[in-house]
Amino acid sequence: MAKADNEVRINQAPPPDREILRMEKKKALKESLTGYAIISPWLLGFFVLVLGPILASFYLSFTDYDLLSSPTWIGFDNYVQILTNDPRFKTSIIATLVFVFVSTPLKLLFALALAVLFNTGRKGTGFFTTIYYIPSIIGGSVAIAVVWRQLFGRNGAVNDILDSLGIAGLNWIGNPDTALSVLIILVIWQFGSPMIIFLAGLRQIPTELYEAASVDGAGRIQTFLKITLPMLTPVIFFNLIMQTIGGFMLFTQAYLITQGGPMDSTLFYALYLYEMAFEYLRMGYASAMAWILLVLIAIITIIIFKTSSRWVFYESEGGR
Amino acid sequence: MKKKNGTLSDIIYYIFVIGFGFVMIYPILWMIGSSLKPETEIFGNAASLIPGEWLWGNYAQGWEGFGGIGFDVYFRNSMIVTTLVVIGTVCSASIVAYGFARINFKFKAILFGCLMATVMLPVQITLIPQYILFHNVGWVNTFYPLIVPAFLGGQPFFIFLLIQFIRGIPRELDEAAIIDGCSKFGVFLRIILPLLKPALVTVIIFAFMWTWDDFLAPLIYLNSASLHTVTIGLRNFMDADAGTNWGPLLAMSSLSLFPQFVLFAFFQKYLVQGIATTGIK
Amino acid sequence: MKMNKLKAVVMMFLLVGLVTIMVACGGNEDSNANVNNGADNSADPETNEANNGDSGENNSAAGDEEDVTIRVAWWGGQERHDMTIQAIELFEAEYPNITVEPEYTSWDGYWERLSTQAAGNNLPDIINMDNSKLMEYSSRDLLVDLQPLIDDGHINMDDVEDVYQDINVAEDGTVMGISLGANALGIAENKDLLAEHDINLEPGYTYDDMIDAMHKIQDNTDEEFFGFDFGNSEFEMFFVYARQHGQSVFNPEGDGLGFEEGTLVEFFDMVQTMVNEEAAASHDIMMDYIDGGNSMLGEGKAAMNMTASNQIIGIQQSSDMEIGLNVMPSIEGGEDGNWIRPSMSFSISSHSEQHEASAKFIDFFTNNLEVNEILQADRGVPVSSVVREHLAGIVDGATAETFAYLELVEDYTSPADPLSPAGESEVRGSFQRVVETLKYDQATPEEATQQFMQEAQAILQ
Repeated sequence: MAKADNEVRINQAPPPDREILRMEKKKALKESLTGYAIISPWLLGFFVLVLGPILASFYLSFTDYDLLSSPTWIGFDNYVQILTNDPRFKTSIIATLVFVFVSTPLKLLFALALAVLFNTGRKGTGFFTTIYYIPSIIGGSVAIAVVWRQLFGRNGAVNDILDSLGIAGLNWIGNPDTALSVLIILVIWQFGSPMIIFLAGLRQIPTELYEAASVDGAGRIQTFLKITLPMLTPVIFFNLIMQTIGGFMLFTQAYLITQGGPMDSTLFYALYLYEMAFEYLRMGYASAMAWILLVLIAIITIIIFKTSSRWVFYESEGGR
Repeated sequence: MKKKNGTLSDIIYYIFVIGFGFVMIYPILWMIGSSLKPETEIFGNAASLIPGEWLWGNYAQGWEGFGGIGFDVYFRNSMIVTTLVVIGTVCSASIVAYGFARINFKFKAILFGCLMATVMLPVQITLIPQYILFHNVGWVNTFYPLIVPAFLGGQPFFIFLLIQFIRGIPRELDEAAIIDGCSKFGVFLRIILPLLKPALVTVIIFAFMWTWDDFLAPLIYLNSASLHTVTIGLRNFMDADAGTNWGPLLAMSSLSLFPQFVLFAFFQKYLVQGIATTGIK
Repeated sequence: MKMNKLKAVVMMFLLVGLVTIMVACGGNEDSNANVNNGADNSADPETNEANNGDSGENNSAAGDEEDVTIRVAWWGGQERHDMTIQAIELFEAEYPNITVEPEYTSWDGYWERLSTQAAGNNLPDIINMDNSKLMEYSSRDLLVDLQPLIDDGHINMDDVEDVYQDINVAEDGTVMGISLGANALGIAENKDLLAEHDINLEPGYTYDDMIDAMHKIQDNTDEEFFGFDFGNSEFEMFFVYARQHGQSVFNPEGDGLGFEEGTLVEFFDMVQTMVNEEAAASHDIMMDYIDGGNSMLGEGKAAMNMTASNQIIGIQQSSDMEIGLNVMPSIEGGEDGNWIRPSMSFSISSHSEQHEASAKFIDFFTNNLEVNEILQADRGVPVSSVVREHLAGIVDGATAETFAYLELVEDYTSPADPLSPAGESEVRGSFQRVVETLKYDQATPEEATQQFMQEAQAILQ
């Protein structure tokens, strides 16, 4: 059946024949049904578990809701308040944007560089990959706070090193000018996650391509630029999108280490939102903040998606 | 590809990788070292990685847990939840990703948009409505709210990841299989899945990591101490009011890294093999 | 290869089956999961009775004979959890028909879980409440009035003096909770350090005396010394400060502030000057110690520390030096600002259907001597005079110091303010942010006062 359909499409140039149109339609319908069947686990999960809560949060963003009693409808008040009369909203947006735009490129750069380095097939790579990945494991653990304070605190290792160089150290986490940088370093330090996605991507590049290149006498750099990089673009694209979104959502590390301080210098958006929702019990306000964030991230994501047709190369789609 | 006369570059490579590796792992070594120190030495003698006196008491005290329920229970609970979530995620995310990457169905763009949108909404916001939903089904204080979603597509992150990898697989392979009489599902099982191995390994590693480290959902859904996971157990050492037991906390934190470490050490070979031995067969 | 594919298919079917089973049996599976996974305290088959509190329908008329389950939630650290669970075991032995399901976490996460449970109509039967949250929950009708249960004898309050209970009683006579222990704000002092520098601050000493003492030590020591430790409790300190001026932080109606602008400017000025002149630890050093779980006072890097009395038990445990308690500094010609805080109450939630069993539980914790021996006054000095006297003979060290302190402070006490209004946590947040800008020298006391008062009024309206 499938075979016949294929032949119809391939061999006959499309004469505007009713019969064929009907068959095409039927085939599209069949393919649609197959598609729905295949993604049905997600469809079920989305409609049963996810969509309801999302719509609920959208509704709540137009209410005054303290979790402890029923929500009351207040229209656009939350949105108006956030956008026109909340200085901490601005503070948190700025902190978040700085964080995202500094940490994401650097993290990806480290991840890509190390992944490529580890892909040269030298001895002991597995061991080193594990070492470099370990920082990611500790990511959400409560211990990260004490460990990080030990590094960047007043009597921490960083200051010890600076001392030995004759430079006076400072309390990196407790200083409003440096606290944000400390968190940025922390997140870059955890570049292991995108790194292993890059490694998986490198694994997937067909070896024939490299063999062909070496037959052509291409050098290392040329091979990297002509083969590795283009073939890796779908994964780079993925990492870029997800790390950007993840950056906007960053919560745990900041919550555990700085709680937004000192002086709101690390008040990331998700942290502020959480504070509103669970500490001050203003869930309606927090929901509105979430939807504003959604719009902001969506815009940035769409921009990245739009540019992707220029630089992301899909083997299955025969190029750009 | 690899040049044989590269001894110098090898030396530079190893010096760099070892030096930088030490910087990477220093905080972890500090944590493990400190978990073996008595409480007064943890911060008093912070600079030293090696304890002045080796003390296993923190492990014994930490392992006991709280009120008769110890870390054996927490580890078992975390293991149950995490294993099931990993299995669910791998199975459901891979098939769903295949559907999105390879099959044309109506409203695909819209549905993909929905998929992405769910990543962009902070979890903290949908938590309460979801709690109410699960409470009405009677699932609060069970593992189901943590596990079942994984079987229904799991995190969109994984679906999107696998979509990207599937799009990197040449379509000719599918078509060849279809000509051989494979169904769409057959293509998935026989062509896509085997080629997706490296990506699936990353899914396993991440799904494990995120579930193992998750705090908020277990906190809210698991009320009984006998259902607590490791993350909740760890957090119970910290209390602003009663003071934090750093020794046991660091000891149990070090221990809680162990399963992930083993998992990664086992799976990394699928990610870092010599170039010549892998790729499309 | 073929083998693998076969395996994959089989696995897939297995999993689909598994999900189906889970979905199908979800409704009544939850209690079974409990039995499977929680061998420890679910050995009693009756646990499935009221696991979620929502199947309590059939035992709502619970007599003495009928088996009931109550859920009890509290926060704390490792020792408190252990002690409380031990106490619960004692309770269960005394009342074999009542099973207690403990739900404990650390302070971090406790309120998140509780508010989620409130939203889901799934609060535990008994909740450990904090003074600062009592109004929040009570004003939403989430707490049961305990007066009827006291009246019909389920909770015996005969031995509890009013000063330990007043704060838990609303204006209309509703009893919102019963305190698990009382404490009072105070100054923890490093006695060794003060003695070494020949400083003796008798109750009645002033803020200036205190600041002078800090300078005196600062001038005479070569070691690292930070002076006074605010302990991140500037807001509490201002409660006392305002009371000493005959004012209060919140107005009695709870819809605005109850102090004059000048009072706060003065207070802020004092805080800022102390930090700038190094009579008090800077903000980053203070937070460094707090987040690190260390005590500046215990290490001898600070001489005095703003704290709640029961917290010196923890400080003393980690210090070789002798730690004592002193009353808050006073203002010349000012009023008494201290007050006894019956903190950490047990309340019964309105989602509970087991009022009587819950009441028995609270009564047990309030009056039973053996239980209080186990609990070691860790949550504060017991509110029942009988229990207090009994324990006073047993406890030693820092715990004994807290007992003595509560007697001492009584002479420097004025009646407690009414409970803080529902927006307190947000007002506190605003206060702490403003104090931070002060301590980092980014605002003048006047600017800080302006900003705080504006924000607070907007929140309380």
